Amino acid sequence: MTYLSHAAERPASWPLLLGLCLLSWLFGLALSLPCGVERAVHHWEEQLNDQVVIALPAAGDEPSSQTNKLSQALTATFPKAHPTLLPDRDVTRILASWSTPWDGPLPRLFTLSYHGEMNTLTTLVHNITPEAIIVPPPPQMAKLAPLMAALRKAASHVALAAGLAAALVVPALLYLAARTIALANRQQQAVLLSMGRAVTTLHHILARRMALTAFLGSLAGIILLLPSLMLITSALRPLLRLPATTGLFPTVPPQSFLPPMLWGTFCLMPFLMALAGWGMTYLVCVKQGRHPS
Amino acid sequence: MITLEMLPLPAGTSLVPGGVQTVSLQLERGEILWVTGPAEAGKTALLETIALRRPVASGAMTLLNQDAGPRITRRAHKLLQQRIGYIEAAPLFMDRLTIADNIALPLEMNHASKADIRRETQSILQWFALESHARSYPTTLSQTTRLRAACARALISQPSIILVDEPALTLCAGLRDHLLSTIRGLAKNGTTALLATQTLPVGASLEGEILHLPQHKPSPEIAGPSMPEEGVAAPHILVTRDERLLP
Repeated sequence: MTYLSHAAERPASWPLLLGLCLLSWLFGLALSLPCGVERAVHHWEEQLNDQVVIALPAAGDEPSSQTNKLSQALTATFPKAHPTLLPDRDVTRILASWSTPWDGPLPRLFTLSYHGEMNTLTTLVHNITPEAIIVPPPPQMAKLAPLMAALRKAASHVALAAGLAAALVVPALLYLAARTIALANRQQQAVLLSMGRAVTTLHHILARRMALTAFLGSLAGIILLLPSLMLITSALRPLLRLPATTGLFPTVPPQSFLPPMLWGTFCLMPFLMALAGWGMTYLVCVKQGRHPS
Repeated sequence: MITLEMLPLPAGTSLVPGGVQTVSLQLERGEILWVTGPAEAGKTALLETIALRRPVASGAMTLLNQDAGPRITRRAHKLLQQRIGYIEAAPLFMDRLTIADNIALPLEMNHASKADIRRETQSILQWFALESHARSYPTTLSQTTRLRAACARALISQPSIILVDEPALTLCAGLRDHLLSTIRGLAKNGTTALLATQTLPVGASLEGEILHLPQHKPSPEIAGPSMPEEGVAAPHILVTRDERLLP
């Protein structure tokens, strides 16, 4: 309704715009942080050497029955460890890196990604081949695991705190804005009520305006989030062992570090804010109409 | 058309013991009723009750042959309010709309055609000599002009009941005479009018019944001092030379 649309007061919307922009940005960062940290930690873990090497004494060209027996036992006991009998070419390369060139018959080497107790593995292997040598991986994980756990925990806590803060402040901000709009239009509402007219149309107009402001504010926050994530990724590039930067933006966009569901949430956020703003304004106006103060 | 039975109305305790009086009256179509009485006699309360701005706690009220008593439905409340024109003491306007748009608002809400709205608004603006203020905003106008605009807004939809509070009848003699002649014209077409004023206007041609409030006489022991009498000492806040400000 044109008259009512003109008649409705428009309190300054920049505090709501600015507030929702910053809160959306903060909320986006809070959601991104644990995902980013998880991906980064996973990336580092992939880089670590967690291979256990089991060396069997040389026994001719063909694999002995002991070797086959050990291979079957390892596969049956630790199927996720992927025990592999290395070919001679790889054995030669490994031995070359350990010592001077190997002149004698080549030993048999098994590798497996084993993260359990070394005693369990040793017992199993020695039961089958007592003369086997077990070479554990370098103790990188032992040192890094507590650090990574702490990093994950810290990221979760920071995300939770920021997310909760944003989740609490957003309704408060929307309520304040809705109350401001309702109070600014109290007289308009009183005039309509005194004429015996429905105030629903006025409420819809006010709620629509609020929804538009909330949508734009949140959208600005999400748009601001993109360069922020790119800058953070770029700054952590050496730590994450990402390829070198080419041009203004990193070659690996932050998308690769965040799951698609999170990007879907970011896209939905302006719509959710608009919906929340619409509902809040409508409810506050209706309440004010019932209990004019 | 308007029937009130034992309707409780607030009044000053100096005028009515206990501060509540009951009013009964019956008005038919086209009747005009002057409601007179001193300040706090309940004149505005009576108008506000009939205008459905004040809830009816007890008693019975019928407006336009519809029950408007304590059990009035929301729908009936709205429909009745749309047929009542109330010119209140301090009329409210939509400050972002011009005077012309404010006056046209009841027609706009009734979904009248644009041509009708323009014609009726122009006509009533001329009738109340508001053409020069048509494009002005309510906050920029004097109280008298705002009252003239309130009269125009209340009458543009030709309500079945017209309620006029005191300022519109006492603030400006010209406005009063203009308003009374308009109301007389509408009353001939079946509109019922209630006009509230402390004293009946002198010099105006009066028509209609008179209801004096309060209907109970105050008892001498309850009636306290209402206005300072001669010989009453000035309040402390007034120095000696300011005593000429006292009535």
